[in-house]
Amino acid sequence: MKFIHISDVHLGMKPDLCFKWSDARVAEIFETFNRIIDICNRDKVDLLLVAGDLFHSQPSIKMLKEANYSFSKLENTQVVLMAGNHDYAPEGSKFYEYEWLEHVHMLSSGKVEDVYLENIDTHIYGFSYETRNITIPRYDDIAPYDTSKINILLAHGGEPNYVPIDFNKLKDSKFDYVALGHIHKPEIINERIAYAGSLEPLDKTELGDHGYIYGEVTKESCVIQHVPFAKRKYIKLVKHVEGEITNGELIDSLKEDIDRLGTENIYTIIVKGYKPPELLFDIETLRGLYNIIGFKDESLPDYDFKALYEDNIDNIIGMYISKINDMDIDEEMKNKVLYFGIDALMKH
Amino acid sequence: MIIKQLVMKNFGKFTYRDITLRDGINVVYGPNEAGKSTVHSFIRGMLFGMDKKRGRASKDNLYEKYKTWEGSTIFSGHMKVEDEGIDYDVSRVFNSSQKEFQCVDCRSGRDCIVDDKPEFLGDITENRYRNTISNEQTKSRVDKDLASELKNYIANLSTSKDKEVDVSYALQELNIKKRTILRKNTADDITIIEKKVQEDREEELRLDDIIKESREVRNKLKEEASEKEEETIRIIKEYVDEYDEIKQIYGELRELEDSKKMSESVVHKLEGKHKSTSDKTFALIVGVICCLGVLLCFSRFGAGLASIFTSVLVIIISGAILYLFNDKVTTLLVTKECERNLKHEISDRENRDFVNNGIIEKQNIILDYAKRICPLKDVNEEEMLRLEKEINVLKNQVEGHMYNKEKQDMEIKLQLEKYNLQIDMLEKDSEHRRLRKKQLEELKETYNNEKQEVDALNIAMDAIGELSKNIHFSVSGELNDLISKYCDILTWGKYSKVKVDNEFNISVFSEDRYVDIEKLSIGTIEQMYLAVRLAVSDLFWPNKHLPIILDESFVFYDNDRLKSTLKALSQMVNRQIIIFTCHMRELQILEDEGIEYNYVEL
Repeated sequence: MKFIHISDVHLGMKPDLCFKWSDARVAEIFETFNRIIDICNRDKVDLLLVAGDLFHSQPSIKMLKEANYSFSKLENTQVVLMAGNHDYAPEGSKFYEYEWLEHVHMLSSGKVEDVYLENIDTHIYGFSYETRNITIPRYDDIAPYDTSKINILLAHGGEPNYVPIDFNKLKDSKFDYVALGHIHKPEIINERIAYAGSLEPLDKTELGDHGYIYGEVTKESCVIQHVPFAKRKYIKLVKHVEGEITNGELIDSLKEDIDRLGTENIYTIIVKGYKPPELLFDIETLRGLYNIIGFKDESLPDYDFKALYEDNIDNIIGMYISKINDMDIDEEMKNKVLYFGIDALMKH
Repeated sequence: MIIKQLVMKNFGKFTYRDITLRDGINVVYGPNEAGKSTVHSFIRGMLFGMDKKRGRASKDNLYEKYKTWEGSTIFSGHMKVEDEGIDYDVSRVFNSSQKEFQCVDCRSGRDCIVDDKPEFLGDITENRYRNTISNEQTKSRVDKDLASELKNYIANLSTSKDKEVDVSYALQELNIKKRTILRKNTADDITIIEKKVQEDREEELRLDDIIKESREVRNKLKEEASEKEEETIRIIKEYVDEYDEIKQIYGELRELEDSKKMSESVVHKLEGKHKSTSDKTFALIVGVICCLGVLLCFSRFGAGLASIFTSVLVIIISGAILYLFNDKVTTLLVTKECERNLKHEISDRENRDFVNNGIIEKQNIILDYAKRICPLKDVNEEEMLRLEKEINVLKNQVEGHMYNKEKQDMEIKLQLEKYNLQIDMLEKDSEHRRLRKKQLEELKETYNNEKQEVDALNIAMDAIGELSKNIHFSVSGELNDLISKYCDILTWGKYSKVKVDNEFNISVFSEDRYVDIEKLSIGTIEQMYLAVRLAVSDLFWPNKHLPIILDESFVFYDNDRLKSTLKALSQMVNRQIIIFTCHMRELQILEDEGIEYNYVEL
């Protein structure tokens, strides 16, 4: 049985709110979701699993209609979806009461349901969040009833306030596949348990590839892989500098890197190493040309402490250098202290 | 280092003056106002320039002071200095509009300016120059002040031995950096946002509670309040609804009863009538037969006894027949005779049966019905009234119940509406809450970075503070020794041991103990001062052998002291001493002692 597992799409979210690419991202999230539909059709996928947080918040009727329309384009695929902690769906809520198309099944609010899909002879177990927080580890005690069929657990959680999960219990459970959601970083725990991760990365901490999990499962085996599918990536670009570098040089070097790694991506730039003492890096020009979400200058002013020490063995500068070097503190702190002290002592 | 020549052009009162100086003792003699201070200042100006220092007290403003009195002519000069084997020529033009500064190696013509100063000066700053090589005339000469001045002097020297390191400035800089970071008050921002995030959390918990409550209330709505209760009420309602039918049946029953009564009385009457009619008829028939019989008898038997006897027999037989067969015959007769009337009667009788059955049936229905709540003794007006009362009671019960249920449902629906409103309101803020959480995380990171910076600054400041204290120690130790040495020389062994403690209090060993110099005479203190200057310049620039300029320094010396000091100075090898004086004393002593000197008269 072929399936695609996605989670944490967060339709309707506005990531990186005050940055110039924020509006584009809102649309891209919808776009990528629709592209998943195309992939389901292209690969003739039997089952689309949505492990929660399809919507960023309680969806409006309009949003539900749009999602339903997207699902309507599926030619051969059934959908089983659940509400997560962001789009939680208590009974009576618009999300829960919405009349999906026939091939779209939403798990019950608050209590575990077993959805049996005859054409693929598969049971899908799980429940939709009925509140925002659930501190009870509800997944620890769910077990499939008929182990001769394919059993899938569709789950959302793994944090103390959002259904804590005992992974050992999960590994021992008799589910043929556990489709997890809530953690935005994709993670394949073993060949039967995986977090799909957010479909599009939503925050500068969500580095790396994001996309969906494609899997083929039988009673004998389960083979899954994570497929990168997002339009953009968040990249942490660490630049090492040394010697007589100038601001212009740094800018050009960064431009090269960004052009190579992809100008559509969103960058956090960190400069490390050593720079001329009075130089202050300024990357304002880059902000206009690329998507820069953060910049940190962690480089240290290049005082050649060794040479300074030798030149000043018998005075306070030399004594300071040796005193600090002898201190029992970590390297990074040592450098900082040396820099601060020498910088202040050298000024006049 | 030796100053060899001074050439002053339009400097102070000098239009043009050329002064040659030598190694060893030089005496520059001139009465007051002759220009000694001017020469002094010229030397300083040549070495360090005379920038118009804005904002400084004018007494320090050499520029203003020595700008030529003669108006706008160019004031300039040059100076020859020998240092470590090299002859230097320093020349300056002091006019601000045409400032010029040159320092060249006389032999090679090489440019010798380093850091905007003549190369031979090295790291001797103007400050240091004023504290060592030169001493200005305008210093205080009151003994106590002098002692403390000396103390300050040493203290200031000790803290910055070399390379322009100004420890107090450095500490200040670091402190400013630290204060700038702390002023950002990130910790306060964190506290504020943490509080908000905590409130957010509580709001979310409240949201959860409301959702749970809402769910329970919603379930209440769906539940059959108590199934049994509902069943019971339903049954009762059905029962009560049936009563209308029963009422109708009762009405029909009454009708039937009435009609039955009526037809019965008619039949009775009819039967009576018939009966009497047929009775009469029969009797008549029998009478007639009897008469006939009698007549017959009489006719046969004539009026004889036999006829009377037979007649009587006939009469008796007729009577018997009448008596025995009255009913039967009557009925027969009746049937035969009153056929038309009786037909009606017959059908009435059928009707009657039908009516009777109907009546019985309806009574049974009513009795059955009533049995369930109010068994009737009989189906009559009184009993029916009793039944109706009971039915009404039940009706009220049912209506009451339905009304309550509706009210309850309304209330629940209202409550759910309220809950939904609350949930919507709390949900609106969810994005804000999420962003606040993120903000808090970022602030915490910033705070950690800042804390690291502050920690580093603190470590740096502590280290520098500690080191400078230690330097005090070591310098003071060396200084102590050097001062003692020079003191020894200058006083010809009278004060050979000098002690400078951590607070820079100076004391000398006199006779059997250390005496604070404040207790000594001005002359002694002056000597100490000189000793300190010599010691200091040796300490900092041991190889340079800097010249010493003494400008009216011996004013407070008595003759003996002056003699011994001059003798001692003359014995200093490799040292240029330039004495400015307006007295003849120094010259006299030098002559008397046969000490070689270079004489310059202003």
